[in-house]
Amino acid sequence: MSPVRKDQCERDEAVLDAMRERGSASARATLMNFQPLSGGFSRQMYRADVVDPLNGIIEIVVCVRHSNSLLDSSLDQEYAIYQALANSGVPLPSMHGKCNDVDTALGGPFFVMDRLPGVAPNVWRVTDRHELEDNWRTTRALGEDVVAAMSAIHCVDTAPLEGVVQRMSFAEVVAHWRTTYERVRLIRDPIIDEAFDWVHSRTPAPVPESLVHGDFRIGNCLVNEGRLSGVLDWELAYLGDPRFDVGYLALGYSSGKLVKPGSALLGAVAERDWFFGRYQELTGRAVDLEDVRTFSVLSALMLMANLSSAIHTYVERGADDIRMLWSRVPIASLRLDLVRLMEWPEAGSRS
Amino acid sequence: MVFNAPPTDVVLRAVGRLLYETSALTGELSDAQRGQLDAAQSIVRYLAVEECVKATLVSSLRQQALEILRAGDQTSLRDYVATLESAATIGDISEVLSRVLSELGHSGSHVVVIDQLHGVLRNVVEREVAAMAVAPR
Repeated sequence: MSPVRKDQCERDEAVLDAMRERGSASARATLMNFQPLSGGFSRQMYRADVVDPLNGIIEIVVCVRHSNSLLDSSLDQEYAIYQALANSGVPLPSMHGKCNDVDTALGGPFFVMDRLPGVAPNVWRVTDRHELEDNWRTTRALGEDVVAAMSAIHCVDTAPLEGVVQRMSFAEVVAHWRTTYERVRLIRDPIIDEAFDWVHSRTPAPVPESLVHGDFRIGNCLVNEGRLSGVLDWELAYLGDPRFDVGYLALGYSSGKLVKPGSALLGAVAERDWFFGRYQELTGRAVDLEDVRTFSVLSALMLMANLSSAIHTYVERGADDIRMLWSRVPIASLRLDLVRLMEWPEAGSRS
Repeated sequence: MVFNAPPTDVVLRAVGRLLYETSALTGELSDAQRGQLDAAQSIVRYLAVEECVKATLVSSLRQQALEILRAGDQTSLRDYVATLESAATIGDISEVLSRVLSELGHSGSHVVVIDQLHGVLRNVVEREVAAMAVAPR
């Protein structure tokens, strides 16, 4: 057997063993059509088909946490969230098993899940934005699905997540992203320094703790035939203040702004006032626009920390994925969002 | 100009290396390889704009900040003037401005000076993003 073929066999067996351990595949199952999917900097995703004489064909996705993962996020936590939310009303893939070993044939620990129908819209692509906006103009189904999914996440019983998902207060979230940013920044930035101080000074009145997705935007969801078919990418989830997700979705970045403005719709899926009103109906929680502003700044700082981490990884750790270096592009626009959200004076209006 | 951006030579070397490696490939490019080239094109496109406006924006930022600090009647502010005058790079300038704003913020006074410095920083980032927005494709 050639070395390549041997590696493939070991890889296939690792995936099937994880599935067999959970009862998702029989001893006679085989793996076919294993292909990499374009993924983020923290997880490598693969698609494959499991052909099982007992269970038929199962379309799967394998999610691997590789050794040079950008975020120090827990695969265990992500897996536990998918399981805990299985009957929550949030569209999610079913889990088929996981492997916690660091040294695997896939290059790190991994889990296996169902492959859901649909694609993740790229809101930075004009054609994708137009499709999302058409949906709002016609059926509004996607806007309704997105607000329903966010509301369901924020209303889910958190008891099963105790001890599995990290708990973070508002102050801890601010401190976490500040520490992260300061560890990886290449130079000191007065706008970022001031924004961290600003957001730290605006601790909002407490609300009941919820599960927070932490990266909730349409680009981290799957859309199939105009409906939401999956909410993915739970790497940044925590138990805390759900208004983080609302502030993040309200940020221009989430609706496709890189340098030029993206969609005028919130998150490119619904009108802002409609979304906030519907969220309030579904959760019973009012949306305070000042709180949205606070959390939009906090989420922009989270993005700055993550973009800067990518740049740092490329420059200092010798990564070879040039998309990490591309992370420099959205930074100017996010800095502009920050000064506008903090309402710094415009030129000509100075005291 | 982009804050926290790696130096231009690092960016250019990275793009050059990618082009060199891609030129050695045979057969059709994969989606992942095409994604790398798209990213490189976008990086260079914005880098070109940054290089065109960087000198003007850095000079404007330093000049406006110096005017504010020189006009301040506090000795502590004037201490920063010399440091800012000798600041050669955007990294040096932003370091000084961060320290000034931090010191003024902690003192709880000088609201006018803080507002003025915020206005200068906003003006510069507005101009930077406006320039990037008209970058040729």
